[in-house]
Amino acid sequence: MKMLKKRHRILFQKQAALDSSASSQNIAGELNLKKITLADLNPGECGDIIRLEGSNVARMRLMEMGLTPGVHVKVLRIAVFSGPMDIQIRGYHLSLRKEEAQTVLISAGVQTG
Amino acid sequence: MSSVQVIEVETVSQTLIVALLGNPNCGKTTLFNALTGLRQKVGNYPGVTVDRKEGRSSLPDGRSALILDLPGLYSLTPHSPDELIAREVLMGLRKDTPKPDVILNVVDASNLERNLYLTSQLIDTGIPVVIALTMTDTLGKDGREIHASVLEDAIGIPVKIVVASQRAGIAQLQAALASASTRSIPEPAWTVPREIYEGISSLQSALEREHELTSRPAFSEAVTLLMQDNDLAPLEKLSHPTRKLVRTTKERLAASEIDFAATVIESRYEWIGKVCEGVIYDSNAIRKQPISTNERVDRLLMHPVWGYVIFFFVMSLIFQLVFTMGQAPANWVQSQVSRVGGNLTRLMPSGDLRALLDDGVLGGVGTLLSFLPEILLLFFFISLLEDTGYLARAAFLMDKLMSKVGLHGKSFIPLLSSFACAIPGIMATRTIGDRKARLITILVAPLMSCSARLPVYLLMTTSFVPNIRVAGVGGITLLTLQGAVFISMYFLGMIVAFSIAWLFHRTLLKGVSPTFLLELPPYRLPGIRATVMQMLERAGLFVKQAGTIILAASIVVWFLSSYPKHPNLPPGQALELSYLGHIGKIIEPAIHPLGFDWKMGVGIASSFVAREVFVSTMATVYDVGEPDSMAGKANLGKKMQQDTYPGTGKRVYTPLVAVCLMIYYVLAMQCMSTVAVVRRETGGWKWPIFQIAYMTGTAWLITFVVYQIGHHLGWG
Repeated sequence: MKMLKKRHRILFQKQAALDSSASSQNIAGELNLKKITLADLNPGECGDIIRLEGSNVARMRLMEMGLTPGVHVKVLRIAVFSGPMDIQIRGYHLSLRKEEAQTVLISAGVQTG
Repeated sequence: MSSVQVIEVETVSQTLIVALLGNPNCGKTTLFNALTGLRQKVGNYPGVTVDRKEGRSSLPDGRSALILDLPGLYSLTPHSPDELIAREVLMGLRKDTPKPDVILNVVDASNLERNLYLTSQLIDTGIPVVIALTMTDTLGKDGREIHASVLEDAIGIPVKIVVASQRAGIAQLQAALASASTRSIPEPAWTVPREIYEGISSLQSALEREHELTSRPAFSEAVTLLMQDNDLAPLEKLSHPTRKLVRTTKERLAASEIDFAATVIESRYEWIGKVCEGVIYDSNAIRKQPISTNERVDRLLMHPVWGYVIFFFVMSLIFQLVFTMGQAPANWVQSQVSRVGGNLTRLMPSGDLRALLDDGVLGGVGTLLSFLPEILLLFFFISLLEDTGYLARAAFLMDKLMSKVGLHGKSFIPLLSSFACAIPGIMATRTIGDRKARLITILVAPLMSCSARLPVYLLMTTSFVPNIRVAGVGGITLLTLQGAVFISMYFLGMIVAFSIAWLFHRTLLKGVSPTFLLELPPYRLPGIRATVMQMLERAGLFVKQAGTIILAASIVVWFLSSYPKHPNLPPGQALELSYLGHIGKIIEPAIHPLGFDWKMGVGIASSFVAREVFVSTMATVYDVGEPDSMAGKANLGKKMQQDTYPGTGKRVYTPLVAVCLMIYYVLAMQCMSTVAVVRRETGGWKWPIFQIAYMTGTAWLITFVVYQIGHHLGWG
């Protein structure tokens, strides 16, 4: 439990850093910020999808499976040795690899739930 | 134009054509079985490995419905041949399949949002849609309730709740199908956003003009053409101006930075969000949601430690059952076949015809049938794993390991099945969605030591490997040299399979991006009826595919080994002078560097029926009667041990030669039925020919290296 709280704090810090860097970079007129993706989430954490990157085909397939902007995702578990992750989305379970999860940008308003 | 066609279908044929569509794991197969009973026809769409199933169902108005069971799909956008076939069937573009009058869309109530995505695409086509809502019982167990009438009103098409396993709601569904074509067709479900409206409508009118499509199919086709980003859809079927219009429209959208596909998908899900409002009543929503049973089971079965322990246990259990339960029926079948052979000998005068029937036909049937019990069991367990939802968990657990060599988590079960027989293994690769991973799995699956190699390994180890202890505690021997050699053969196959997979992943199929999007469906109790039916379906395919080849190969090998005839010579010498004996001698120079003589060449040539035939061929070569019994095998082994090369007097079989022969049997592609199945599953001769070449080449090379090193070290 303590571990989880610590993780959340880190993620909030990540988010805060992201927000501040975003505003500073907006002034600079250049976008080169470190983003939080689905792959950054730990089991038990969740967030809302902001947008998807990656190739057209890969993005389309993920979106058709319901990973559209604004949708809430929760990471349930990750297989050993950074194997695929099991996520809950739109009321069902989907498993995807880390490489695919890295293309899904998340706003980490993290909470357990 | 289209209304005329509809009237024709109704009055002339009296048959309603129904396309059955739904997401994977939505209960579509169970519903298909409930609607059609045993009146089913199973086959394949020509040229592609997409299962084709159709069945008949009676409608309340006296007409009959032809139900086309299309593959389980998440979307109609062509990502694989499955979606392409479904689209072509719906558009009436396939000459082998009639154009559907009604779409029966199976929707899983416990996974409503994602299931309705396909529904929104189906409504686009302008074909009347009827929804069969399944899994409402699972929903109830979770304390949730669905209001079908609210959904019906929101979508504007008939929605019928069915519990197919209890046949509940089937009659209402049939009535809805019968009256569906008289209902007015609802508008496309989603709202087309303004920024893409222009692009869609100009392409739609071009399709109506140039390709004589009516407005709705043209609309659906226009959206799909603008969405897809691969060469799967048959663009070449389009006229030149239309193709150009597709390209310029895409360019214009890209120039104004509009992501067409994302816009369409988001609009569809927006519609889904609206439709689902108030449809599901969740009594858990107010209080804190309890951990579902499903999640509890997942926590155990997908546990980083216990998950693997259980997985290992389940797989061992299945294999134990396949081999032990398969043994008795296989023996029984074999005794029946030899009884028929005995009757044949008594009733028919001896001659060519009797020999053909007894040795050629019955021999082939016997070989085929002796595999069948094991294969049936294997198919049964694979279906069971699939239907319960465990297969997806196994794939989740194994994916990291398999992805290292370019395979997929789902490659594991097919590879494991190949230890019994490569054919069910290769047929099971259909569950792998990713084309590259599937192809690599097919290419390496026959390297797993199948049960037909077992008699060869047994003969070689027991006859030529000294039975000395290599490991043990006190008086208990844990491992003998024989056992160690035996096990090494299994490991050799696995190691080579993974190395080759890695090699193909890095070279031959480089650049094809791998995907792993795998739904983890809720655990479900399997319907035994559906599981058994699926097992029989696959076994039927096996008999049709492999059976004919085994039979044909058996007859060819019988002919080659019996002609030209030398009735006065003992069988061994007659075989030497037969065509097969000649083949053995012709290939002798090629296999001599591996330490093999022409007799082994004859054995290798006869193994094209099935590898185990090697043993019975050797029995003929060495004039030993029945090689099936233990005594027969020992007798054969003794004769082989005593065999020497004429002239030099050196022994033909040394432990080194025996090991080399086993290595060759591990690695070479010798099984004709596997070749036939690979051709079918890959849709052409390219891959099976490649597979024969690489496997036999690897086998020759590795055996050569082992023999030459061994020989020079004086082990020969």
